[in-house]
Parts: sequence; C-alpha cells; structure tokens
Amino acid sequence: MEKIEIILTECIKDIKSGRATLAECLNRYPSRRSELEPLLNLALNIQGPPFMELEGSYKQAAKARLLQQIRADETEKSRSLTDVFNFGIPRRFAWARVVAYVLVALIVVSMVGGGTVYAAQDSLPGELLYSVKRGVEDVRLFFADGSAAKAELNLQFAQTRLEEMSRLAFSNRERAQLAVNGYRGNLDAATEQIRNVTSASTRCTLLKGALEEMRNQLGFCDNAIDAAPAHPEPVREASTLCITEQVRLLTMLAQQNNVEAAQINLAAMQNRLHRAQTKAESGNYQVMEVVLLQYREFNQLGERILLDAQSQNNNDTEIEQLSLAALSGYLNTIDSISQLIPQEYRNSVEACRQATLQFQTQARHGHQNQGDSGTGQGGSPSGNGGGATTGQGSQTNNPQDTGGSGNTGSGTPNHTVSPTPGTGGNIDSGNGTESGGGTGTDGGSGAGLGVTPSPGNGGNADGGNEPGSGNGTSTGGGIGAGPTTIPSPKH
Amino acid sequence: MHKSDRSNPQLNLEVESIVAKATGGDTEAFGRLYDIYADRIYRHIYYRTSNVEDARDLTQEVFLKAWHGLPRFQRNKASFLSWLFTIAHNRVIDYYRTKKYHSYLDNEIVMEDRGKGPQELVEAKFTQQQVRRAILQLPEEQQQVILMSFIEGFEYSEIAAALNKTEGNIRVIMHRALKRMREILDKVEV
Repeated sequence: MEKIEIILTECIKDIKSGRATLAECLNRYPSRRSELEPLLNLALNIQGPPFMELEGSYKQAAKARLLQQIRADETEKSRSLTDVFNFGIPRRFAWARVVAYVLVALIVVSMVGGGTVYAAQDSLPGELLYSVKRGVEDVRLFFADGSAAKAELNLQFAQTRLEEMSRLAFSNRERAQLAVNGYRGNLDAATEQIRNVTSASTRCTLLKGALEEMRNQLGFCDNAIDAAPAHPEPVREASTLCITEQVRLLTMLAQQNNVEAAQINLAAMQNRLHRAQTKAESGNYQVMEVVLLQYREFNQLGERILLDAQSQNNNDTEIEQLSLAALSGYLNTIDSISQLIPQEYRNSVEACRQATLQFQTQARHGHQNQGDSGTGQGGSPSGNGGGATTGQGSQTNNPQDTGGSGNTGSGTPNHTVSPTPGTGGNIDSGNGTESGGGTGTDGGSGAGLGVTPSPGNGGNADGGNEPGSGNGTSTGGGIGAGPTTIPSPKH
Repeated sequence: MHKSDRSNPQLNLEVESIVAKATGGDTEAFGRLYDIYADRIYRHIYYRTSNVEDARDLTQEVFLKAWHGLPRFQRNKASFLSWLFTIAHNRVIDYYRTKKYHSYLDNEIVMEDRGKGPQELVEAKFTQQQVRRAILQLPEEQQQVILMSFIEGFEYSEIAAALNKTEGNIRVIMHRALKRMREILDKVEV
C-alpha cells in the first residue's frame, strides 16, 4: 500500500496545480479517505498574507544602508593585514588563494625550516605574522575531511581566538575586538558546518561535543572577565556570543534528542546561577546582573524545549520531571542571591524568579495532566508525601497543581502567581503514586516574611523544596528536599 | 501564494548570473538581488513576527548575512531564493529567543481578503489567524517545510535541497506537520 505521506503530498500537488479536485483525490483513495480529508482540507486552507512590499522610499534607503555597510565591511577587510595574504585574488577564486597559501607556506618552511610558521602560532591580531597563522588555519580547513571535521576545527580555532582576545584585552581594545570578530566568524562557520552534516547520529554526537566545547569556552570567558581586563567590552561580547552559540546548538540538538538537550540546558542554567551567586557573594553586582540575563536565555530555551515536547507528546513526561527536579533548587538559589544583594539590584533577580516560575508552571501543568490521568510516575525524587505539616508560609505554587488537601498558609506569597482554588490529584509526592484529590487554596494570605528560603516544609508536594517563611499551616502535601542538581546528560 | 524561481526560467537564469557577480564581490549586483527579493523576505518574516518594524530590521540582517555567506552558497545546490529563506528562518528563530515566548502568536496580521463578503471575510480572517497560530506552534523544521511549501510555493525538491534532506524526508515532515496542525486546531475548536 502506498505510504500516506506520498498520497497526501501528491494530492496537494495535484489540487494546487488544478490537475484534480479534492473530491477526485479522495475518490482515488477510498480506504484512506477519513485520514486524508481533514489534512487536505487544512492544507488547502493555508494562506499567506497578501503580497506586501516594502514602501518604495524605505526600500531605497534600506538598500543604500545595506550596500554602505557591505562596502564598509569590505573596506575594513581589505585594510586588514590578512588581506595582504590574499594575493589580490578575488574571493570567487578561493581555491587559488589556498594554493597560494600552500606554496607560500612551503617556501617559508623550506627557507626557514618552519620557524616562521611556528613563530606565527603565537602571533596576535594586528601583527605581521598573524596573517600566516590564519592562512595556516584556512589551509587546514580546506583539507579537512567533511563538514564534521571542519566544524570541529572551527571550534578549535574559536578557542584560539578567545585566547588571543584575553591576551589583548589588557592592552588594546581594537585588536581584542578583531579577535572577537574572528571568534564570531569561527562560531558561525562551525554552526553552518554542523547543519551540513547529513547523518543524524553524527550530527547528534557532534552537537554534544560542540556543546561541551562551548561550556569550556564560556568558562574561559568567565575567567577572562574575572581577571578585570583594561578593556572588558570585547570579553563581554565574546561571552554573549558563546551563550548565543550554546542556545543555537541546543536548539538543534533538541530537534534530535530533546531529553539530552533539556538536561544540558538545565545544567547550563545551574552553571549560570552558581556564577551569579558567586558574584553576588563577592559584591560584583553588575557582573551578576549580566550572568542572570544569561540564565534567563537558557531558562527561556528550556521552556521552549518543554513546550515543543508537550505539544508533540514527545518525551514530555521525562523532561517535565527533570525540569521540576531542577527548578525548585534553582528557585532556592535565586532566593539566596536575593538575600545577598542591595535593593537596587533585586529587580534583575526578581525577573529571574518570575521566568523560572513560569518555566516551573509549564512543567507542572503537563505533569498535572499526567496525574489527572492517574498514571503519574512521581516528580521530584525525595519527597515524603502525606501527613499534616506545619507550613512555613509563602509558597511558589502553580495554583492548579494543588492537590491533596491543599494549603492554608498565611504567609504573603512571595511569588506572584495568583492563588486560586486548585483541584485534582498531585503526583509529586515521594513515591510517585497518585493520591489526594479534594481542593486546595494555595498561596495563603496575611503577613509573612516572604523571601527567606526555609527548607521545604509542607504545602506543595513537589518535593517540598519550596521557599517560604511566615506562619501558617498546611495540611497534606509532602515534605522533602528536591535535588538542586540535575542528572548528568548521558553521553 | 508565490512561485519559486523555478517557475520562471528566465528570472532564474538572470538571478544565477547576478549571484555569480555578487559572489565575485560586485556589490551593485548584490543590490539587484536585494531589489528582486527584499519584498519576499520581508513578507515571510512579517508573517512569522507580525511586527512591521522587526520584519524590516530582520530583512536587512538577512541580506547582510547573505552577503557574508555568499562564498558558502556556491557550494550549495539550493536556489538562491530558498537559501535566502533558510537564512531568514534561522534569523527569525534567533529573534524568537530574544522575545517573550509566544508573544508573537498573540498578534494578528493582515490577511488576503479579496472577493469576500463581510461575513465571509470575518470568518476567513479568523480561520487564517488560527491556521497561522497553529503553524507557528510547530517544531522549527515542520514550520519551515509548511511555510516554504504553502506560503512561499517552493517545490518539494527545492525544499529538500535547501534543508539538505531528501524529498522523501520532506513528505514525511509535511505529513507530520499537517497532522500536528490538525490536532492543534481541533483543540482550539473544542
């Protein structure tokens, strides 16, 4: 029997080209009618926006700006010493440049026994031998076997750019910036090469290796920032590029293995939080704010991976469990950071808290749906369910998740999810079996201290690791300390 | 729906020659490519972002990125236009990351409304907005295949070349995408 995807796409093609009507297509495949009809109806209903044009004057101005920028980029390139070594060969003859590099390299090697090439390895942007160094890299890339090998080389060269940047960040901003520009180029090229890898398993392995490399490079950038260079801007830009690259690679990995992508992403979130905490402890609040922004990038990505999984019912339960296990710990860390910093920096911490809560809510939402169907596997591993517990106030709860007997806490909810009555069972209590039912009012009201993270007393049964202080009682739910670390990604 | 370049062999030949010049460093030739394709790219990005200003900025960035990527394009089998769309797709994904997730779903965009009465128009607009939302909720790859096929009019072979996949892969992705969209829309209707 013909495959449904072939039938479907051929029907769409025939109908769109006028070779057949919808009815004719359906009559061709009577046994597939029920499957085909809704999909064809939908396909024929997809329309784009009407033809839109950029406004004439805007378009002309935009084109002029674009060409101006392109010319400026080209001029800068041609000014750079690197282009001296392009031998005036136009870029469409890139192969000829490479041949020229090889010849020059051979001549140089034969003349000075490789000393120049060797010496060039230690050169920095703006120095005469730097062109030789980059030329040698180009030759290695040219001869690398396949996209995977080229991607790995580009990542290796990216690390070289970072090292150049960190050496120059103490002396010369412009030259450090040249190294960062090179870093961006190496990362873009690596991503492009990874996209070109056709074998799914090779690409997956390559992505994981690249992510490990990017983690190391981010650590390198962190150290470079901590060394308090005279010109921190290029270093910060490199750090941002590194984060963007990680997000890009994780997005690609999520398409192939969303669980591993979620694990690595959660580890990246944890890494950023720990650094933010260290910076808060040392009173370096500005760096802390930047790191918290990086945390939010990963948080947002984590939420997207989860949403994609939930919308496809693809490993969603596993990702929800992983996320829930990790996020409650992260909220504790965020609370402890909040305790360490002056008032004027609390907004950025609060923004992180809200973002994390939103992610947690999304994870709980799916988790709750699993619980409703009575097939829950338990969420945070170490909770002890059941029993009446004296609550300690402000909870970080998704109201809809309140199961068991609900909370009657009287602390001021520190996290701004509105308390509304929740219904239904909660599956996150320790041994992971469904229990409860009934109704709960979460969040409570009254005066509480709000932000003090006290270890998980009562209330929410998601591992009981929610922060809170204040006074109140909570019945049902569980006690427990959810893990603050997540399982390592499988390699 | 637009037609891809393949449906116009003369334009295709002209574009090939312009692309060759641009790859050789001819900025005027690249400007000509901008004249030909800027509106298509802008419209595509607008459909996905529903924000005129952002769509304009992103269009500019796509062309700048294309200029810098031209040496790599020569080794690619895809048409120049489909290659531009893959750059636009990746750029929009980066854009999503910087925006609040789903905020772009809440905005409505202008839809085709020729030849419809008022009641029909309202219903059609509603349906199209729902369909658009469903498309934007698809995983990235499925989204790209649906947009390139239904909105931009690329043939399966062109999409396959642009995404470095086989036509068979594209058919499978298309089937999954439509099934997923049906599920999303059914939930909305319920």
